[in-house]
Amino acid sequence: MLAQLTSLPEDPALRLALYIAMALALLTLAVMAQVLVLAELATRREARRQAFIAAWRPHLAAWSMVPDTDSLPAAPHGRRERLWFLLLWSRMQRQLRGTARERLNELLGRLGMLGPVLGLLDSRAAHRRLVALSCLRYLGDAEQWPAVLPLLDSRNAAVSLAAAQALVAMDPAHAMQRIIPRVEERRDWALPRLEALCQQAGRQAVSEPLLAQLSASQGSIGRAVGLLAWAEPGQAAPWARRFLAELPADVQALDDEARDAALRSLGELRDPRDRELLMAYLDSESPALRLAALAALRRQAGADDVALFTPLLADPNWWVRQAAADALVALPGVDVATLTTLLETLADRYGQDALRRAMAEGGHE
Amino acid sequence: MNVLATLAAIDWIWWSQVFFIGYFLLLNGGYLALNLLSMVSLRRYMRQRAELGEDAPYLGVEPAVSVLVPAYNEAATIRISVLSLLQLQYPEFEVVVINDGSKDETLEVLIEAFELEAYPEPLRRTVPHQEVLGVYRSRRYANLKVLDKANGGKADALNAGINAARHGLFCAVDADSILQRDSLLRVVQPFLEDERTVAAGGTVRIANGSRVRGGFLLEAGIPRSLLARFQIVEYLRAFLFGRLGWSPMNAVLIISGAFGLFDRERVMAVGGYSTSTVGEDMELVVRLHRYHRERRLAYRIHYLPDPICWTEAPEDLGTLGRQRSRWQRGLAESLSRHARLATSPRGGAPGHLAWPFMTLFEWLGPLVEVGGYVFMIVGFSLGIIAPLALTVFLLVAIGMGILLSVNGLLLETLSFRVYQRRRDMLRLFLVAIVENFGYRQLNTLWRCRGLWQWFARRKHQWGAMKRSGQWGSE
Repeated sequence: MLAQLTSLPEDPALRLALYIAMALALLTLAVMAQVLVLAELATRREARRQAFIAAWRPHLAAWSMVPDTDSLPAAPHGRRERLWFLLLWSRMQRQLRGTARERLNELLGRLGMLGPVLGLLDSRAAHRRLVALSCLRYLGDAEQWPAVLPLLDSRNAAVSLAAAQALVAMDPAHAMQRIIPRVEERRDWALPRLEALCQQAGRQAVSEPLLAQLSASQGSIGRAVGLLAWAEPGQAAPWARRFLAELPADVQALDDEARDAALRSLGELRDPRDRELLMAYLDSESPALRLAALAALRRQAGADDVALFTPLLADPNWWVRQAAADALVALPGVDVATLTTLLETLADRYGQDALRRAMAEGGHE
Repeated sequence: MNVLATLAAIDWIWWSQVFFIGYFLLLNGGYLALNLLSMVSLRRYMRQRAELGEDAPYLGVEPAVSVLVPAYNEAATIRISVLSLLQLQYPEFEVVVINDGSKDETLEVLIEAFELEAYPEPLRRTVPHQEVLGVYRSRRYANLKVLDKANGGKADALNAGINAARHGLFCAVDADSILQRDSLLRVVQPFLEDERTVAAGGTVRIANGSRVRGGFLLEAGIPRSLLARFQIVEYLRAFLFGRLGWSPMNAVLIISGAFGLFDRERVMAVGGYSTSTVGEDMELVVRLHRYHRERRLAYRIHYLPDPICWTEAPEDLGTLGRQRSRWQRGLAESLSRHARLATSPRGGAPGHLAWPFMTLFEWLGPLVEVGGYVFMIVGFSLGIIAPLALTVFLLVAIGMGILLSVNGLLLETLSFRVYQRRRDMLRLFLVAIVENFGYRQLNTLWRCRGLWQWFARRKHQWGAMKRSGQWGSE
């Protein structure tokens, strides 16, 4: 029996199975060794990184408060250390504002790190290019515009969006003029990321290129309309009015999203001249548009508008009913007695529920 | 007579051997392929993570989220759980706790701890659930709401939560889940990156042996209990290559009920959680696949390898056995109910790859495994299978099991390195070997029991879990 187990079996199938078992054992041992080696290497690398950060962090913190050339250590050497330094510098920049940020920008120049940063832009590794773009964003130096602009068309969405952020930091108005015309074709630029860019650039920078893009669009409005909320309401209003007036409110069109954005934009403006246009959308078939119109009207409503919002308490859509109740409770000059009377006279049970909830939330119990 | 003669002439033993060996090859080949796929997608993910930075980016335009916490007899831990949820790093979110007719003081604890007051919240009935007895809001936390409802099970509680939620995305969280402060911010990323996303889930890890304070994980560690250690290796296998491998093909069939983010409108469109299954988390995901594929709607279901949720693993055989039986039953219910996903020409990767894989190796796997053990034992006893053949087959089977577990540890080392001490890694290697002698077989038996419960259609109930309660102590 023992001899049988220690010698190779004669049956070829069993012999093959035994070879497989041996190969599996070797492979398992190799994977285990790989795990241990990789873990050890990662631990050592992490320890070196932590030591580097511990050495540099106090200098960066001190320099962000008072620049002191005498106590500054020599600039980091080697590719890895330079990368660690730039990552630390970017992380600190994220936490700082105003003059502290400017001082750190100055430090980068004094250490001669601008050259390595620009060098990273040519790196094949995307994460190195991203580190460089992050640094250039904090520097906000318009002189580096030509170096960054080509990366706006990078096929890597993360790189192109980081380039967009850097350009916005350098010159918001010009950057948005470059970015917005690309929104339609760059489907990999997710809308929330674009909204964050608009937020960074500011309304003034967004308005002109965005409205030019919307006005130029043929047929269906593209996805750029989703950014309308980030444009200056006063500048966006003429386009929004024209767009809403062209398509009657009761027509179910493909551009519901665009109309929703236009209604929200007019809501931001709070211009009483838009009241009639907004009211027309209270009868829209789309609950989203009724909701947007209601929200826009709420922003310019007065005590006399109880009659305007009350019928919406019986709207078939839950969200519209709740929004109508919230609007009624928030009307200036409307007191508990008025709301209680309204609650008692309401025939619609769902409307009553909505109003009761809004009163409780608004402290009108 | 001819048929009987033909049957008698078949060499059953030879064909049985072919069947078991063929199944074994298919099973392990499938898992190895999945393992390779996971390695590729994990590498890609880690590179992207390095590109975007290790911290979850905060854009300021993240969509608001309703965090739904179904609770049944959670009086011991609910206060800490809710407090930790209220401290999540996220721009705008609400926490909706649904007390599903608890028999203990869960509601009383909540009322006292969070100064709840009754509140006339009108609830829509978009998805069905048992009667809601009361809605409460907190005087201390404006974004906390509690529903008290008649007992109807976890799925029923989640449905009530979906109806009460005010935001477009909802995150289903188990009351005993231990999160990281940026868990929500991480799991929302797929919704920001890809507008087609309808659901996203992340890796669930074992919290036993880790340092937890105030409902948040401070430091991961290895538990003393061998049973909990077995589960660490199992979870690494199940999540890091069991699910990650399917994600690039948009074929993830399971998002853990412990932590998952969903598009509320889409979930309502498919009818919410099913109350007639114990595997409501998997059933919902499979139904979402089917709904979108049948209607040719663009959608993505994402899986994140980030460890964003930690859970307390059972440390006694009884609780663990019941949990595994329930999971197996849930799997069988979900797959059998949506068999049409596999037969439909629009089934795509979820229907034509993931469904058959799960059916063949996860649903029917325990039965074949038990059949294999019986065949070997009987064959060996009767002298049909030679001792050498039996030994060699067992060596290959166990060797394969160990290799797959060790590969799970390799993926962990290549990615998040939650267990950084060499001693911990050596312990996990040992566990990867030891689990093949007894624990794996026990698991197979529990899963067979789950299949029997599915077949006998036993009544559904909340899975009772013995809690150590240590999370609340620090």
